[in-house]
Amino acid sequence: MAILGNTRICPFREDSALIKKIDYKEYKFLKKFITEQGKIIPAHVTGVSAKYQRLITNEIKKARVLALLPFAVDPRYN
Amino acid sequence: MNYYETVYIIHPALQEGRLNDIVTKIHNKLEKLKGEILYIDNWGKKKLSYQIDKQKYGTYILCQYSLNCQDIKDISQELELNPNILRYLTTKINEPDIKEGSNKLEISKVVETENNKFSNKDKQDINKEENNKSIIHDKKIDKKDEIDKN
Repeated sequence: MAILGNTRICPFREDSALIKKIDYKEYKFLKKFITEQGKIIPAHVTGVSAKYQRLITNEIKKARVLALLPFAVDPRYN
Repeated sequence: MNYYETVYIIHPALQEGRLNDIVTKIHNKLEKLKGEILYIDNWGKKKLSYQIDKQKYGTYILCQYSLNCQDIKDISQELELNPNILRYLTTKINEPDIKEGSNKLEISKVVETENNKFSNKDKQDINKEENNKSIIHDKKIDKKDEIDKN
């Protein structure tokens, strides 16, 4: 379900060079798709299409195992 | 022969000579199993986003190689039994994803990255503790507070 008035274009369709950046080693690029608490932002907020949202979630979960991204962050202490 | 890559984290207290010993152990085992090493890289000492075995820092190493599919268990077993290696992750890759670079690794100095240096927040906290100690010397400090700080 899309929110009324939210017309965002998928960033991976505008720039096809960004598709190579979907990798667990590129944690600085993947930081744009998580919140301050470390949660994954849903697709109907960012405007990413379903196929690339699936690739992003798998890579974020791999990066969490290697301690490149956090599992959970308490915003009160940081 | 399929193409794989591993990233593993080593305990931060090991430097130079001992680091090379661990890396050469894994290379010798790879060559015994008739595999080829294609790319090695050392990312240096980084700060972890959460503590692993009560350690806050760790050195990352990336390795790309080719192997038979039946020999992966032997390498992952060696990475798991070594107590100096904190974590590892192996994935399968395609041929065009292999990077171009050096084949051998020689660690001579500690690589400083952005996260290795102390941030300004740590310096301010240290100054606050010193200031508080000079003010509080008249009061009696409970033993519980000292244990909680440390």
